[in-house]
Amino acid sequence: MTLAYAWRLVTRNLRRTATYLFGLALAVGLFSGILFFVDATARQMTATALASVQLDLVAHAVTPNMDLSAVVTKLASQRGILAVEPVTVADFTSAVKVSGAQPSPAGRLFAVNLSYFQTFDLVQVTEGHLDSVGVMVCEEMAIAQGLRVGDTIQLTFAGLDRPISLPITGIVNMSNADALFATSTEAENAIVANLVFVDSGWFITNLQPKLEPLVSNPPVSLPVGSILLDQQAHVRIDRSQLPANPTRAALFTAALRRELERQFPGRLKATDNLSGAFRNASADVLSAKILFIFLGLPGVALAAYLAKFAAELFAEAQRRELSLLRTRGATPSQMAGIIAVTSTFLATGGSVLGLFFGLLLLLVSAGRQVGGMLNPFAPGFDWGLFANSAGLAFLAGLGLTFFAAFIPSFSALRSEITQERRTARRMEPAPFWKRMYLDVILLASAGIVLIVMQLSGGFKPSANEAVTVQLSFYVFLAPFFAWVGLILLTLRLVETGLKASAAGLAAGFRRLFGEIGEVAGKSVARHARRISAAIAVIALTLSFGISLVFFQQTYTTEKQLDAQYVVGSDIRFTPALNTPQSAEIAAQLQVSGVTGVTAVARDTHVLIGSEKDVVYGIDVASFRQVAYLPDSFFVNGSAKQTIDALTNHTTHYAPGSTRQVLDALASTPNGIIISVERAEMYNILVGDPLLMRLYNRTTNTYIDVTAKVVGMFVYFPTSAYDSDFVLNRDFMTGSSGNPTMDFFLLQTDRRPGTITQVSDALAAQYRKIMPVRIQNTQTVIKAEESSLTSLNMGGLGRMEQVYTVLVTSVGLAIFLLAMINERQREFGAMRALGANLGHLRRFLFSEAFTIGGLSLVIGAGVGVLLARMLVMLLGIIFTIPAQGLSWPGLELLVLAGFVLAGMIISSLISARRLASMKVVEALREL
Amino acid sequence: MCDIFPRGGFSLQTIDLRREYRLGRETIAALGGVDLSINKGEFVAIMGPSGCGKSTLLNLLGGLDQPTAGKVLLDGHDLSVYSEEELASLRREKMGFIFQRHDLFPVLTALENVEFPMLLDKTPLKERRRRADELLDLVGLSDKSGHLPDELSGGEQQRVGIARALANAAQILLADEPTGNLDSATSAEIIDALVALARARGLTLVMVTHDPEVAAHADRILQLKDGRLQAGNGDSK
Repeated sequence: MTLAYAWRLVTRNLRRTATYLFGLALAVGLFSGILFFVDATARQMTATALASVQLDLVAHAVTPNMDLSAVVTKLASQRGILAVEPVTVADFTSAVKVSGAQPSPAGRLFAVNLSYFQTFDLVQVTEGHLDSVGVMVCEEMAIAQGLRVGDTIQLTFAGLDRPISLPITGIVNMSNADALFATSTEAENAIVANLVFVDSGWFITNLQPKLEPLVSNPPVSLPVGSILLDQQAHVRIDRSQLPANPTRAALFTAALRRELERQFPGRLKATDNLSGAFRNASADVLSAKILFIFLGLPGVALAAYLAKFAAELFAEAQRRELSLLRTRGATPSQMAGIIAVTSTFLATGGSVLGLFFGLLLLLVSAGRQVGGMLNPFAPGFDWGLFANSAGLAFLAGLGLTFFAAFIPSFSALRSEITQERRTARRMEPAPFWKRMYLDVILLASAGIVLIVMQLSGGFKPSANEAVTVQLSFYVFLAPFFAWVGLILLTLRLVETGLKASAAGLAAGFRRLFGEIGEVAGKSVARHARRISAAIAVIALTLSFGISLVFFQQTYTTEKQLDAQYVVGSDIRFTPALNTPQSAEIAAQLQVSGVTGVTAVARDTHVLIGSEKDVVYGIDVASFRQVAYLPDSFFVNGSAKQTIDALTNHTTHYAPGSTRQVLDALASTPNGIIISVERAEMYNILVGDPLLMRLYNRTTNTYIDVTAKVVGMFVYFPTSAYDSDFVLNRDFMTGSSGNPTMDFFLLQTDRRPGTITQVSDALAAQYRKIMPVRIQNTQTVIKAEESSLTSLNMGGLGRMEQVYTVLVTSVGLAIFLLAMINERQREFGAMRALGANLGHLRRFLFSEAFTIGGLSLVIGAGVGVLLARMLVMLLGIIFTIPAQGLSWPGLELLVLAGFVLAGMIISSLISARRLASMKVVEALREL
Repeated sequence: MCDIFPRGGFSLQTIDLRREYRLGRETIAALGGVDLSINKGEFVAIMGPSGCGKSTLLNLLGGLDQPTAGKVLLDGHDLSVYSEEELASLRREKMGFIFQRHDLFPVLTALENVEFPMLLDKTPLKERRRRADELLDLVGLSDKSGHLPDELSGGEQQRVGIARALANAAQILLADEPTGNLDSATSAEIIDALVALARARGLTLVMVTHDPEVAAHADRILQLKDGRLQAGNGDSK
C-alpha cells in the first residue's frame, strides 16, 4: 500500500515531480559530467605522457649465452605484448674511416633486425638503409669524422685482435633514442655519443661468436663501464590494455614486467620505461582533477541549491497532503514509509536522468576531445573507472534528495496536525551567517590567505623543470573563501538594497512597466529575501561561467605564449648536424605565409670561466622582428634596483624594455646580454667585460674573446633551458670562424592553419634535400599535453558554459514559477479585482527583470574578480608567468547572448503558466 | 455619509445557467440550470449546504468563470460576449469582490491595498490616495492605513477588503462568505458596515453565506441545493 500510494504521490502531479527531477538531474548531470570529463582527461593525459615513451620495456639477459630468439618467441606470446625485437649491444673501442686520419673515440654497436625500425620509432634513418652486410652510423659520428654513405669504417673491439671493416650504408638520427641506453644496472646507464647499427644476422654470424668467449673473462683493455656483450629484448606492450588511471597503469606494467622475468627466472631482468611517465602523469592527473573539480564544483553546488529549492516546492505540497492522511488515521510509521519511498523514487529517477544528462552534455560540449573515450564498445574501455564515477554521482543525487526532500518532510511529522493543515507563515529570525557576519569573515580570510601566500613566496612550481607541477587544495583556499563570502555578501547587500529602495523601485518600475509596475516594485522590495536568494544563485552561476571563460582564454593565451617562448617564434627550422647551413638559406625559407626569418648561431662549447656554456648569436635586426620578445623578458640592468636585487639575491629587478636592451646590443659589436642568474653567479653588471673562449674550427683551437655586457634578461626566446649568453651573430661567427647557423626562426602571418601549412611545405621541400627538424608552437603544445600547463580546457569550459546558460535560465524559471505557485491566490485576487493578463505579465517581467538584470551585473563583476584571482594563483605554472587577464570578447558576447536568451525564454514560459491559470481555481480554498 | 460614488447598482439575471466540471471520466454538474433575477440595489443572500454550487454561482455572476450553458445578464448585457480583457475591465470598473479570506496583498499596506483597483484604472496618485483615505475612514481604519495585512486583525483585514471593493465606482458587490473566518461579534460589525455602505449607495449586493444571522439582513434569501435553486427562489420580491 505504501509503495502504491508513494507512486501515486509522485505521478499524480507530474509538473511538480518533473520540476524536482529536472532540478536534481541538473545537479547530478553536472557533477557526473565533470567526473566523466576528469576520467577522460586523465586517460588522455596518460596516453599523451606515454606517447613520448618510445620503448616500453627492455629485458636484459643477465646470464651469458642466452638463446635470444627463444626469449623473443616466448615473450612475444605473452598476453599484453604487441611486439618483441632482439637487440644485441657491444661497445667498440674505436671507429675510424678507412683512409681517414680523424681520431676516433669509443662507441656502441647495436645489432638489430631490419624490422626494428618499423617496430620502434626511436631511430630515424635519415640517409640510406640497413642491409645485411653494412653498417649505419649516427649523425654526430658522421659529422665528426666526415663519414658518408659508401665509405668504409673499421670498428675495433676490446679483446679482438683485428678490427671489423664494414661499408657505411646509412646514417641515422638519434635525437629521440635515449631509451636505447637503459641497461640492466643503473651504473651503466649513460648515453653514448657514437653509435652504429648492424644487421642482427650478420652480427650473430660474424661477431657474436668472437665476443661470447670474452664475456666470462673480460679483456683488461675493456674500458670501465663498457659493455662487452649485452643481449636484450625490446618489448612493445599493447597500450590499449592499460588502465586509464596512471597509478593503476603503473601497477599493470609492473605486473607485466614481473611476468616477463618469470619466464626466465634468474636469467632475465626487465627495465621499465613507462613508470617514469606514469609517475609524472599521476601527479599531473591529480592536479588536473583538483583544478577541474574546483572549477566545476561551484556550478554543481548552485545546481544542487536549485534542486533543493525545487524539493522545497515538492515538500510543501507533500506536507499538506500527508497531514490530511494523518487526520484520517495514518500511523507515523506508515507516513515515514511513504516519505521514504517517495524520496527513493525521486532520488533514483533524478539521479539516473542526471547520469544520462551528464553523458549527453559531455558528448555535446567536449565530444571531439573525449568522445572516443566514452565509447563503451571500444577496446580497453575502463568500466571500473566509469562505474566509479557514475556511482559517485548517483550517491550524490541520493544524498541531495535525502537532505533536500526526505529530512524536511520527515521532521514535519513531528509537528502538530493543525499546524501542518494550515499554510504556515513563520516569523523567522535572521539567519545565523547574517548575525555572525560570516560573509565579512570569509572575505577577510580570503584576503589573509592571499597575503600570507604572497609573502611566503606564493605557489611556485619546482625549479627543476623535470619535476611536474603539482597543485594542492591549499592553492584554492583563498578563491573558495572568496566565493562563499561573495555569495553571502551578495545576499546581504542585495536584500538590504532592495528593502531600502521600495519607493525608488516602485517609481522606476512604474515608468518601465506601467501602473502595475508600482505594485511590482513594492513587491520586489518586500520580498527582498527571496529575490536576493534568486539573484545570489543566478549571479554566482554566471560569475563562474564568466570566470571560467576568462581563465580559459588566459590559459590558452599563456599556453601559446609559452610555446612561442620555447620555439622562439612560430616555427623553428633546424637542419641536421651533418648538413650545416649558413645564414644565406634564410631567403629560401621565405615561403608563402612566412613574414620573416632570422638565423641563429649557437655554440655549445664556449668556456666562460671554467664552465662550458652555451652561447647564442643573433642578428638583432631580423631577430627582433621575428622572435617573441615582450618587455617582461628584460630588466634594466643599470638600475640600482636591479643591482640591489643581484647583490641581495632577490628577484625584484627593475623592469626593462626589449628596445633598450636590443638597441644596446645592436650598437655594440662585441656586446653581450646575459641572464640575471649568470649575472648574479658571476657578479657581473652592465658595462663589465666578459672574457670567454670560443672554439675556432678553422684553427682547431680556443681563442680568447672579450665581450662587453650591455644588458640583462630574465627569459630569452628558445632558450628555455640552456642559454644565458647572447652575442651579436657576426661577432660570434667571425671570432669562431664557424659560419654555420644552428637553427632558423620563422614568423608567419598567424592566420589559422598557416603555421601548419608552412611547416608541412618546408618538410616536403627538404625531405629529399637534407634532414631537418621542424618544430612549431602547435607541436610543442601537443607534446606537452600530458602536463598541467597544457590541459585542453576547451571541453570543460564548454560544459561549464552550457551549464551556466542552463542553470541561469532554469534557475530563473524555477524562481518565477515558484513565485506564481506560491502567489496563486494573489494573482487570482488581482484578476478578480480587474487586472488583465497584460498586467500580470508585466508584474512577472518586473521580477524577472530585477533578478536577471542584477544577476548579470553582479555576475559579471564577481566573475572578473574570480578570474583575476585564479590567474594570479595559477599563472605561475607557466614558464612565462601570466601578467593579467586575456579578454575573450567573442566568447563573452556569445555567453551573454545565450544567457539573455535563456532568461527571456524562461520568463515567457512562466508567463504562459500565468496565462493558463484559472482564476476560480486560484481563489479556491485548499 | 460621504457620497463618493454615484448611486445606483446593476441588475443581474441568469437564464438556465449551468456549469459542469470534468473530474477524470466523470462529469460533475455544479449548477444544473439556474434561473434568477436580482434587481438594482437589492441585497440577495445565497445559502445552501457545502458543495451545492454557491461559490460557483457567484463566480459566474462576477464573470470569473464561464458557464457551460445558459446566460448571465448584467444590466441586460450578456457576459458571454465579453472577452477576458473586457470582463477584467468590467470587474475593475463596475464590480467589487469581497473574499472570505479577504485576499489582501501581503506586500501592500492597507492604504495601498485599497488603492489597487484605482491604480489599475490609472487614477492619478493624489486622487486615488484621497479616495483610499476616505474609504479607510469609512470603514473606521484611517489610523491603520500604513499597516501591512499581517499587522491587522481578521476583522480589520476584512474591512480593508470592503474598502477595496468600493474603491472604483462599483455598481455591484459580490461577497463570498465575507464573515466565514470571523467570530460572531466581528461578523456582525462587518455585515452592518457592508450593508450600510451598500444601501447608502444603492449598490446591488450578492452575498454567499452559511450564517442565517447574516442572511437575515438580506432583502431576499436564495436557497441552493445540488446546483439548483429551491422552488420559488428565482424571482425577486
